[in-house]
Amino acid sequence: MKKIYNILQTTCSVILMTMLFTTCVKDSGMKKTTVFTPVFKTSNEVRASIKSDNAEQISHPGKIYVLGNYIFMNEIGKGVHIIDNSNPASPVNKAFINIPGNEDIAVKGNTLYADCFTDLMVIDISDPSNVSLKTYVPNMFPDRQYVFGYMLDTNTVIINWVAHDTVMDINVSEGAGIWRNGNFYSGIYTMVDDVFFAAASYDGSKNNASPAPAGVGGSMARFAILNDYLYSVTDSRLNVINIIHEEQPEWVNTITPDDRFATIETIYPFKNKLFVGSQTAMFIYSVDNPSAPVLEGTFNHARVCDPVIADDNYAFVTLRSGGGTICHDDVNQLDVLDIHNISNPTLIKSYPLSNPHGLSKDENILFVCDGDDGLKIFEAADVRNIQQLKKIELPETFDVICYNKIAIVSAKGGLYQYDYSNITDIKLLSKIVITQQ
Amino acid sequence: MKKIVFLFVISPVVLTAQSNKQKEKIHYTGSYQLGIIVGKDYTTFGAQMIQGIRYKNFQTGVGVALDPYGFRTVPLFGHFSYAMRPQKNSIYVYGDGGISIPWNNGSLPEKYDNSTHDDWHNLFAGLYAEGGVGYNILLNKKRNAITLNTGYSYKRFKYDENVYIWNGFETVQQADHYIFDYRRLVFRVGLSL
Repeated sequence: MKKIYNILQTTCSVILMTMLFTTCVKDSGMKKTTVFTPVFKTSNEVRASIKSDNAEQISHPGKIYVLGNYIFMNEIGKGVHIIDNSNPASPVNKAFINIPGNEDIAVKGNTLYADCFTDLMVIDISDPSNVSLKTYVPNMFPDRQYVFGYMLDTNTVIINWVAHDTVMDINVSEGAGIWRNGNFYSGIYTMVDDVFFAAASYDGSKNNASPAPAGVGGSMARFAILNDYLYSVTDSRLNVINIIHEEQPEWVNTITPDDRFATIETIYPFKNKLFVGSQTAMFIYSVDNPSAPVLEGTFNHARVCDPVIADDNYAFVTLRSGGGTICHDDVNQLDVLDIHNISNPTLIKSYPLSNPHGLSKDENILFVCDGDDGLKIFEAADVRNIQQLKKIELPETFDVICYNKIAIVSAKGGLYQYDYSNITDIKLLSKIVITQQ
Repeated sequence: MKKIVFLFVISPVVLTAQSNKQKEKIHYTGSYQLGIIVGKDYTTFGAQMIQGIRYKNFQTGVGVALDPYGFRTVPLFGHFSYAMRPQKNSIYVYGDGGISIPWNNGSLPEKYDNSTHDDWHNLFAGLYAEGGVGYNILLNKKRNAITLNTGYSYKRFKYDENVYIWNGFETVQQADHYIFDYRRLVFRVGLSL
């Protein structure tokens, strides 16, 4: 009797505990992250606010454009700093133009062209302390209508993003969360290249004889002015905009090349050519007919980020892999291409580098921003035997413009200007501090 | 509910302990078990080994397990059990507590790729705990036994995922923190030597 009692007791205990536990069987997941939500304004409000404001601290530097005594520096997503560079040893941050969504700029004469999300803004900068919006071209960049999950209508722009620390539950079941033998089903997130680390560069040549001189942009730019046309690239398109009448730009053409073109990053004008850098190739367009660029040559390379500059005979392409970015392949080098036969660019030689970004060339002197490895200066008279002359230690160098024997270098922490008129004695002229927020 | 638990689970422990007053030395013991881990929608196999000592009704030691449920982990834990009638076939209660160390099978790559070498996923150990009841079927007087047990098992798995996001002004690296809690039933069979 006692044995039966024990067996019953044991059986009941097991059944009861199993029932209790079964109700507690559960899988759960949680994600702690920071999300950014947009602050909206109407397009009319934004246009009305485009004017010269007081100078602001530079915190997220973007593209740089140089014209005459002025440096125009994009503050990513916010606007344009106007820096009076009459004395390169003592540049003055004069004013700030508030342009939400701005990423690219170009200058011709007294006119600044700047994107504002989908629209192209045309701004009179004849008096930098009192700029005014002359006109705008709507929907010039339709790709920009979709902004990180938000599809904007034509009357709305995002002027700011606000960070929120967020905790969210993750549904852990078949096909979600961490599930079955570690099979991983993550939420979708966006990995974006550091294409906005851009400044610009310039090859120093004086080939543009346009009456209203265009400023100089460079190897990281997505806007380029060549004579009376503004060319802009998006990820997949090349836009042609007539700016014969500077303050009345007119869209004339959009070229959508083949699939390889789908990851365009930069555009660089030289004489009657456009050198377009994409993640998989460098393309050379002829603009003999400036309103209808024609593809003349292609040089394919590894899937990396590739600013490009050129002169009459050679193109210089820096290839870099990215820190967790979309510059996929493990390539960090300078490629020198022979472009005597423009329809068939051929590789002359590759030079290993650390993490090259923007570059600029003045006669036989080549400047390369090699990321954390500083600014490197090369003697490039013999492209088959390029020799490093000097390295200037700077953190996270992005891009360089050579202008009147001054190298304007954007790097983490500052905008530096170096006098290289004596190449054996390069001198730091000035530094504008960039405060990272 | 507490009374019911006491009646069926705790009271036999006390009663049996009082009737079991034989003198006994400390013995080294090892336990080797295979079993199934039953979650809400999913069942998988698991294994564990415990090495320790036995004294009278008590057994304590340290264990290591393979727990592939959700994300494969290797729990390291301390073990404690109490047998009702150590000299006879009897039920026992047990509890484990420790940490669960992730053993990545590659589904959460630690680096982005060969070109960037940046950290992608950082995996962390989480809490591990289990409690349950079992039944010893003695094979000989040395108390070698076949063991059957069932229990409630909890493990936490954590990892950080370093992602590149647009913060409105620039691309920045951000760590998203993930925490997964798995509460399962386990059923095991094994040998205690």
